[in-house]
Amino acid sequence: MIYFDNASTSFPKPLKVRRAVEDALASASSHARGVGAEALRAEDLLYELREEASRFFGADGPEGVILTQNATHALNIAIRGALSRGGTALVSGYEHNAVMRPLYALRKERGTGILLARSPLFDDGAFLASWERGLLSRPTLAVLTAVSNVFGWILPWKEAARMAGERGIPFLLDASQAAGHLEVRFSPGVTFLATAGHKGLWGPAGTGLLLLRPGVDLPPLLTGGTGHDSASRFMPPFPPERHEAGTQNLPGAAGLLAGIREVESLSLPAVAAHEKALLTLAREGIGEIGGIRSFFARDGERQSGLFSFLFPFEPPEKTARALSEAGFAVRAGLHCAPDAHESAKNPEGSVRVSFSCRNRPEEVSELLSFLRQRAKERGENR
Amino acid sequence: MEMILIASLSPTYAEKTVRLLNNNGVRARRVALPRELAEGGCTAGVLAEGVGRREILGLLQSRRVPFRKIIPLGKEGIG
Repeated sequence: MIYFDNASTSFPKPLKVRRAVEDALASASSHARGVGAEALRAEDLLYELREEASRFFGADGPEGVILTQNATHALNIAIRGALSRGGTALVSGYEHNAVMRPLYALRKERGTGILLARSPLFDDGAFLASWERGLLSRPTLAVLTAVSNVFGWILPWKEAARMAGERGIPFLLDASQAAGHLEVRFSPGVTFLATAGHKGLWGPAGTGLLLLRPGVDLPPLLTGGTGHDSASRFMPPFPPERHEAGTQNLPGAAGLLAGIREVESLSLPAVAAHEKALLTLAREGIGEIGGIRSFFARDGERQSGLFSFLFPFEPPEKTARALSEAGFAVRAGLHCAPDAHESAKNPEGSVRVSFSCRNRPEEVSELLSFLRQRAKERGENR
Repeated sequence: MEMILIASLSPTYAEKTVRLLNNNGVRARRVALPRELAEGGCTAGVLAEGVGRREILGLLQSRRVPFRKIIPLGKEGIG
């Protein structure tokens, strides 16, 4: 099987990640609940992950790193926390449902406003102009994905964060499709950074992170036991424990720690360059085939290692099924981002191909051969 | 050997304290805290050996690591 669905989750996980999960299952028990060797190993492991993640993203320290179930969980903590007293959120037209559904739920529950900064696909200038207009209305929170999960567009998030920061507007960066693929740092203006752990960071499913700028206070999303201050009726007043009710996913944390270290050992610029080379190969090959509606940035620097396409003669789901039968793993449909399709004026959905640093050029060539053959056969039979 | 008990604010700060002390040549490890120090019992305690209260205070303050209390235990330890 050729795996081109790394934007859903990276696969197969590196051996070091699998071993770390197994080691944790054998050596770490429950954090903050005891002082036996196994419990202390659990504490040690969680702290190591916080330190590693803080370094990796250039944050201010381990205490600002909250361990979550996934990016959706991290985004919900930040969105629901920042909008706990109502207000308005500014978002791009390329956000995932992990951002949009909490916002629509809040709109229904509390009348929270949603301001959409729409722009054409891959047009940084138009996006920033739209974003700036949105900021003028002084939203309570600005939320932006670093990379579109449908089209791979690397949005100008640094500039957008700086613009929000200059106006004193909290900025939440959704780094789910960027972390581990491209350099993502806690740059000026970023207040919160949310990411999945199981995509570019190579951790197991069920892992995610939320990084907070020091001094930022959010009400907790979940409440419950933290293993300390047990006499208090309320959650601790400071992160990360304030946002971590219940027992942590220790095997997941161990795997995520190993995954981040794996990315660091490969070096991010090398990962980005490799995935970019695969994308270029795909873009040029698809251009030669013709008859395929594809979404590639003219400037290759604006696109990460993922792209969308569809044949004009069949729905994307049918293409994906045929690809699956031929041994390719891809994803078809709206990819949990209906607004992104609307913004790109592509309501039919798409087939998404997403690379990782483990994919090889020969695999892209095999995909191109399949697409060439299908375009020929189906195109002729129309 | 003199022992000092540090009541940290949370398990994360306790881990940070242990690493800070170890990196500065102080033997330190995580311990359970007596209930009266932890408002309900907790594992956020750190036991440091062979170092004075003032030195620990200096280290924690210089790195801005918050804590609840620093308690000299003499040579008896937690007991």
